[in-house]
Amino acid sequence: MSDRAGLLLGPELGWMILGAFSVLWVALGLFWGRRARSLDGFMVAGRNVGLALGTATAMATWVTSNTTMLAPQIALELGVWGMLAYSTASLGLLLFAPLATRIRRLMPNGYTSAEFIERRYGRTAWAIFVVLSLFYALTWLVSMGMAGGLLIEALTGIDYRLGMTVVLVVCVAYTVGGGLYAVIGTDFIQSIIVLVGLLTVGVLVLSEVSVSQVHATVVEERPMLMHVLFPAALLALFNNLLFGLGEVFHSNVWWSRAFAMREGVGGRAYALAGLFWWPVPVVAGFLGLAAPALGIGVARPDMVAPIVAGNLLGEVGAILVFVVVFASIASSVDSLLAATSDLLTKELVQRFVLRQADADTLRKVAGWVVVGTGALAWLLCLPMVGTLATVLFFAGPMVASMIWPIVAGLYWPRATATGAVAGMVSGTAVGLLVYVTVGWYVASLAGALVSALVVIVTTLTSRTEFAFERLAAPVTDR
Amino acid sequence: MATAAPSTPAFDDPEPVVSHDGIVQLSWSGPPGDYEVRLDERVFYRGRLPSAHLSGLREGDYTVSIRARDDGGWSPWSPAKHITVRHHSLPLVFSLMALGLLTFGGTAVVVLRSSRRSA
Repeated sequence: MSDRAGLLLGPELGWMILGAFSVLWVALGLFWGRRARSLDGFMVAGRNVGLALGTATAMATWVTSNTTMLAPQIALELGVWGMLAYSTASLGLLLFAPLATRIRRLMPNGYTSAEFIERRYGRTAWAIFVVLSLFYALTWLVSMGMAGGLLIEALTGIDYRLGMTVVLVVCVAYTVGGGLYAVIGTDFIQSIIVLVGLLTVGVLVLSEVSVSQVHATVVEERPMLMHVLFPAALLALFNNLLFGLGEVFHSNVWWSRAFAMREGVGGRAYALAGLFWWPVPVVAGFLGLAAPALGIGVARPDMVAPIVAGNLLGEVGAILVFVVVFASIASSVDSLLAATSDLLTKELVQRFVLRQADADTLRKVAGWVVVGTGALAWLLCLPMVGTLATVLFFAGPMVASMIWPIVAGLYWPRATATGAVAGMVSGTAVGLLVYVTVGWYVASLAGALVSALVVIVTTLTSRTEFAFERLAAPVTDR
Repeated sequence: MATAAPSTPAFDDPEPVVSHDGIVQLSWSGPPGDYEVRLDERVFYRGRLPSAHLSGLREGDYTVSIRARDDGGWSPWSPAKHITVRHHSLPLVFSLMALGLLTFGGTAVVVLRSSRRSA
């Protein structure tokens, strides 16, 4: 049970790979993003993204550091059920497919999910939604920045803070340069790298250790990981599912892509992305379960994937994992920077600071907002609070409480602002209480359930009807 | 001249811990070198980092202790830290799973039926 973390590549080789891919991402981003001179180009890629790029960007964004680093951690902590629980997040993309079609049809000129909430439910719901949404976005961003720093340190010995800084600076550079065009373009390349890389690692791991060996060792050393009635893992099953649903349904990362895709493309792109994404956490999770069979001691659970691949496959494996995880982190950090910048620029800067600003001014401001968001994420990543799981799942109840206000708001004319506000507030409050008193693996479920009940009851007792045509008004009418 | 054995590492938190998910994260302070973590009578972790992650533990009571090694050999085992694993009760789990199925199923049905109607 040896732990050779930090000795697999060495800092010199680590800096070479980091430098090469940093240059590649920035160059590709600037190349793809050369058309992002207008506000529409920067924020929603000209609203003309086709099926191939649309599918690739949705899949690549959902293959985050959380998938490649956290899925093995969840598998090591919650076993086979945990691995399957993580893969259910693909249902978030699959169920968002019909929503994307409707969003594009109802809001052909839309920019952000918060814009929908304000038009549908009014200012109070908008304010709550923006706070929860921004908290989640920052949490996600911080968890990925941390993952980048941890990965680089685990594989190369380069200091966590330096690695994390490089990841954030590179993503900020090309997102500022090319907006959503750059993000979607690099996502396409990154999704190919991630899929091919993971497949290769999976095949190589299986050539070194058999499934039966993994099973036998885990049963002996960590028996509950293979137990069909592992209570915490069973609790995580629906919790993860609802967490994933909440993440996709509310986040501007996914709404901005729905706005960016051509009419009729969004539904198919999200459905395909969900199908392509499903096996990724299963393959990544297997790395976590393989650790005991390979005699690898685990010092920190969120480093298990790179350590397993590096120990098993040597320098080549470590390089492969490094490249795959760096690509997956970049594909999500850039998406989040772009989507959060849209949210801040349209919902806070334009609304409260630059009310009369024209599109060109807002385009420039959006770039600076990306820089500011990256800087804030960097500051929050520095202290490395908690493990990746604890950082991310703290946001679970918040996002889960937004599922039903979104769904009802998109389809039910009688859904009310009172129901949306009460649903988000009560769902978040109860979910966080459960997070503290029971655990993260049931908090999202509590948040979603309470919010659903509130929204359903208030809708059934409502007599007002919302005219969905109001959502289509040009953004300047706000 | 014989080299003295290293000093015994000490858990950062030596107090007993209760886990409801069979997961325990251990960390300790000690001299640089190799470490071993013993869970009851079995070595669970061997490595150079002063932390270890335990998971998949069955319901029960355990003791863990650590020792360090340098050129002078192994230190004595540290005083034991007590771990109690008490998993959540299955009736509670099944009740929550039923609620999860209801919440997710309801959401899926509403999205799919509503999108078909609005198409």
